[in-house]
Formats: sequence, structure tokens, C-alpha cells
Amino acid sequence: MNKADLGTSAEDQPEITFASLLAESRVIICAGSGGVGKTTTAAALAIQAARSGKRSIVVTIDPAKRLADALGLPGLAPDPVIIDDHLWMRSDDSTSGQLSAMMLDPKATFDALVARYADGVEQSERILANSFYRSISSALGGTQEYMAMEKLHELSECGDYDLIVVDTPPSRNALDFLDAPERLLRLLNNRVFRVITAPARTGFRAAGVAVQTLVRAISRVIGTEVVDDIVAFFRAFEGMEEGFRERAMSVRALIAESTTQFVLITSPRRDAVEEAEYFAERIGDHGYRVSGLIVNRVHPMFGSEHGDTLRSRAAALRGLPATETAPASARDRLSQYLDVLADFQSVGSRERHNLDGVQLRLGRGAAVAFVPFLARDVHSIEALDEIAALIFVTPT
Amino acid sequence: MLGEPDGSEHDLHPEELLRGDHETAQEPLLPELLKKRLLVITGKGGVGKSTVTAGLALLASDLGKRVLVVEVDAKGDIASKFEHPPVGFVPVEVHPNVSVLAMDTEASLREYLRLNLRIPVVGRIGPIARVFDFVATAAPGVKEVLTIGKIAWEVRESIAGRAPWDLVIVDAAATGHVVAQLGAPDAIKDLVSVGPIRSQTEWMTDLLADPAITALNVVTTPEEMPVSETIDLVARARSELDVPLGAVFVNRVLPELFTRAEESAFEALSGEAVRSQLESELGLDLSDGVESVLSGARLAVTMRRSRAEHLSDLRAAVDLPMLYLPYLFTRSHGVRETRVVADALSAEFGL
Repeated sequence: MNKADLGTSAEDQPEITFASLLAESRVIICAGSGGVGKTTTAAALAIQAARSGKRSIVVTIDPAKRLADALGLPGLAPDPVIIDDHLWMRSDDSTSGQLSAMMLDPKATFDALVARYADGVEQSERILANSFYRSISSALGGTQEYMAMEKLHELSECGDYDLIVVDTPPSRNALDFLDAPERLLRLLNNRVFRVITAPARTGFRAAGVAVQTLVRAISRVIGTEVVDDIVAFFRAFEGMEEGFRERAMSVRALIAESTTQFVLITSPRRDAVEEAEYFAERIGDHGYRVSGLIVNRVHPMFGSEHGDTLRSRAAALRGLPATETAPASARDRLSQYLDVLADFQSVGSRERHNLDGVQLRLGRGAAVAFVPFLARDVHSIEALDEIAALIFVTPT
Repeated sequence: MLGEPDGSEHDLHPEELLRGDHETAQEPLLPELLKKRLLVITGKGGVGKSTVTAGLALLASDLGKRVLVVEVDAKGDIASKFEHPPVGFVPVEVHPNVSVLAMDTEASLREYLRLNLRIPVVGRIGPIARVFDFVATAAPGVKEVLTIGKIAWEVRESIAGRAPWDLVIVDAAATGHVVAQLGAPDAIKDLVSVGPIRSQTEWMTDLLADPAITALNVVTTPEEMPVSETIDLVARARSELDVPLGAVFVNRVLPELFTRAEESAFEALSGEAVRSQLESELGLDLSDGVESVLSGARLAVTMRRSRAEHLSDLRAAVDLPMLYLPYLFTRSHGVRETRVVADALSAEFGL
């Protein structure tokens, strides 16, 4: 499907607004590359939902400390924290709303998962003490993503929330969370594991010669202690694969539900917009759809004059002869202001060029909001409010 | 009102360094950075790590060095900064004296097995991919050590005169991951007491720890999260790694527009008052543009002020040499942008 097709199909889609998106979703997954204001946006969406009377929760990975403080988050927590009404609720808000937040602790989430599927305390303790488990649960690429999805599932099951807003981890591949459950299953199902964890006689016979050679090579490379640890882990894990598999399936099903929505967050920088378009494509490849696009930090345009025009006006001004009432210093100063304005106009028009057509390319009838560049950092409920207001009133 | 600034109230901001009248000579250590053999560049996502890496590579090539850039997160960014299509695991010269290699841990594993263990690697992709999956997921740090190993190997070969590089620059993992990556050889040593991989990692640790060879550098912007990640990273690197730190590259710094005294005078201005004043003083018709001019300047002042706060936090917490790169307002990308960055770096190095 080419870009023109995407454009025309927008006509067939029912129009989505951020208000309808909040009203109809049970889960909103915020995706985007690093540094685009994902966490802040997720928090602003959750606040807005709470205002409209929903019990909402924002699940973040690594918020700026002052934002965490503003939300009353003490730090990594395995459980959600309800945020005091007086911090966010206004007099005209629906009183049924409730705002919660949590900062994901991937290791604790993984430990809880093990405890849940283990056959008794002894098995779970054996696993938790295993050094291979410790390294996969805290360091393995994708674990953070997997645990974010796991937590999402848990929060969705518990029934305490009408809307869960998930801020995805700032990983190198920002969409790893889509594959995360499968990745763990693949690890558990890996034939190589079966080969080395199975009793040697049957295992090695089943393995091909190539695999056998390489497994021996691995033992030589990483040392037998590591391989022993891994074998011990898989022995300890025995019987739990089924539970994990079912869990991964239901996480997948939850993401596929029609009440689960993807919102892409980007900045107007060229690389970020390109990445957002790539994300939209990959989300589409997985059979999901992007329902919202939020472009943060769009520089304002001042007036209609072009940067180059302003720059030449500044130059012309500098060339004027000085008079008694208009000293050269004043003139230079004004021309400097014009140069500043020219810079902003250049950035502004470049950003508008970067964003040109982005709505058609990744929106397909999705809600789109442009949040202007805010000169100050966002780490108060008031500032989050301001962002929410900008998202929810932006005309399309 | 818009006259000569009052020099006595003049407040020195880090951005002043961008005015061009600063003395970079006060930090004579900086050009030393370019004499090293391995520069690792990290930073929070989105701060311009690849831009700085490419600018540094171009600058080094200007100085006659043959440079290898290793792109760890293989997104093809570095090659595109030289308007070259993406490259693979085999170094490709994308610009005179600048070669780029995209890290591929699976290819690195093959190379490692071939070079070090003399294990015949079966050509078929299937089993290799499965086994690689296993190695990468199962053995903690193996993926990282394959990445660092390949980099260290290129550096060692170049020092021995067997590889053509004078300088290897690594567009490394983001701040969150780089400590694990650089610490991998050590972690492996703790995990494996004997065997080939242990002896294989010892020389890597030595090379990474040698201040004459290696420097770990951080790219940041004068914003809240990038600054706090930089402070955390420098502290973590000092306590957890035996890798010398180099410099902090502060990207997207805004030029100073006003002195403190002028800022307050400026804030007292209203659009209408200033317009009539300017019109009468300068004899210009400004009926169209003054409000825009003032709004633009006002935004610049607020932005710069909040950035100056973050910068002073950074300078208070991190005692490394800092290099300031301007916010690029003008439209450019590809080689032209890289050239602008290289020139700005050159000025900052006092070259």
C-alpha cells in the first residue's frame, strides 16, 4: 500500500479525537523514540481521563525525578500508588475520577510472576536464587518490555482501573515490547536449551551435528559453570512453561483488543518523525493500528515572515547610519532580535516541513495533536494540565 | 532603553562560550582527546549522539587521521550523516578517511569463533541463528562482550599496525546500557574463572582502562533529563568501570541574547510601548513586526534561562572538560550538517 492509498483510506475511517479515544479505551500504549516527551504525555493523558471521571493509572518506566515527585511517586514500586485528589482534581471535575501511578520495577515484577507460577515456595526460591535467572531478570534485553506488558495484563485483570496508560521503555528498539512475550517463550522453547538440559543420551542424539559442535563451543567459550547454571535454571523452571505460555498469549490478546489503542509520540525533528513513521508501519505489521499521534515541542511561528526575509532586514538595519536619537547600539540590538526571530522562524518552518503530510502517512483518520514548545520543563501537575489542555483542544 | 548593556551587571553564562571570545586554551587537555585511539560516545537517546560522533569523525579526518566509526545500534545514522547508504559489519569508507562499521553481534561471534577458537563455523544460517539466540540470551554479557571485543580488536590491530585506523570512534549504546557494555569484559571475568574467554577479555580490560588509548565521552543537551542522566552516568562510570572519562559534549546550546540586566529591562517592555519608541527613534515603520520580534526574543530568553540552570547543575556535578555545540537553526542535514558540527568542534578544541 503506498502513501496515496493511506491518504484516501482516511475517508473510510470513523474520525477519532483524543476525547473519544480516552472515552472508549481501556488501555493506551504510548510509543515513540527516546527524548520526545513520552512519559510526560502519558501522565497528561491519565490526568485528563481521571478528570473526566475515570479511574486511570499511568505506568511509567523512568520518569524525571521532579515529575515523579510531582505525581507523588516515591520511586520504583511493585504496586500502584493512588495520587491524592487535591493534587490534581479541580472543582468542576467529576468526583468519580481517581488517578494512580506506578513506576515499573521489572525485576520485582518478574519475581512475582515466578512466585505465581511456581509449584510452592521451594521451587520459586530455587529459581530466584539461580544466578542465570538473576541475570535474565535484570539484564536480559527485552525483559523490561516484557515486564511492562506483564504489568499491563495484571492491572487490566484486577479491574481497579477504567483506563491504563502505559509509557513504553526507552529501549534501543522502542517497539521491542510488541515482541517481548514471544521472546521469552522462544527462549523457553529454544531447541538448544532442550538439547543441553535434557539427559545427555537422548538430547545429544536428537541434536544435529552442527548444533552439537556449537554447544560444545559455547561451553568452551562461556565456561561450564555458566552452562551448569543454565541447566539448573531450566530444571528448576520445569512445569512452569505452560503458565508462562498462557500468560504470554493473554497479554497478546489484550494488546489486540479493540479497546487497546496505540498513541505515537514524536517531536518535530526530522529523525524523530521518520522514526515515528517507521513505528507506525511496524505497529501495522503486527496487525494493530495507531489511533493517535502527538507531536511535542513544536516551535511557534511568529508572524508570517520568512527567516531569510527577517535576516536580510536585520542586515539592512545594521547598515543604517546612526543618528542622535537612534544610536548604533540600539540599532544593533534590534537587528539582533530580528536575527533571533529569523532563527525561530527557520526552525518553525523546517519543523512544519518535516510534519507535512505526517497525518496522512501515519494517522489514517487518527487523532492528531500538536503541543507547542514549552520553554520550561514539565514537572508539576499544573504543567501536565497545560499539556493535556493543548492535546484536547488542538483543532485538527 | 535598547542601548548599551551595563557591563557591571554582566553575568557570565556558559553560553557565552559560543560568542567566540572565550579562551579554549584554558583547557589544554582537550586536544589530547583527539590523540587517543578509542573514543566512546554515549548519551541519552535523542540528544544528537550520532551527529556529534559524525562531526568528530569528520574533524579527525580533517586533521589527517584515518578514522573508523563503529555504530553500535546499527540504525544507519552515521552513514547517512555522510550521505552514504547504510553499511554492514565490514568497514566501508563513507567519506575520505572516514570508514563506518555497523555492529552485528552475530557476525562478531562468527569472527570470534573463527579467529580465536578455530572452530569451523557451519555455513547454514538456521542452526547458527538458533545457537546465537541461545548464546545471546543465555550467557550474561556475551552480546556486550562481542560488541566491545570487536571494537577493542580493531583498536589493538590498529595500534599494532595491522588495521589502518588512527582513531576508532564508537557511537555507543545510550547511557542506560553503556555501563553494562563497557563493563562486560570485567563481568565475564567474574563469572568465568578459567578458559579461553577469560584470557580473551583480560587484554580488553587493559586496553579500555588505558588513559592514553581510551576515553568515554557523554553527549548531552542543556535539558532536565539529559543532564540528570549525564550526572548519573559519570558517577556510575567512576564507581563501576575502569574506563577513563574524556569530555562532555553539550549539544544544542543557545547563544546568549541578553545580559541579566538587559533581561529584566526586556521583560518590562510592552509591545506597544517599544514599537512607538522604536518608530520615533529609528524612523522605521514597524507596525507589522515588533510583537513578533519581541515574542521571539522572549521565548529565546526563557529557553536560555531554563537551559542555563540545567547547565550550571551539570557543571556543578561533573568536573570533566565541556565542549559546547550550538543549536543548529539553519536548515541542513547530511554532509553539510556534519561539516557545521565538525567546524564548531574544531573551534571548541581551540584548533
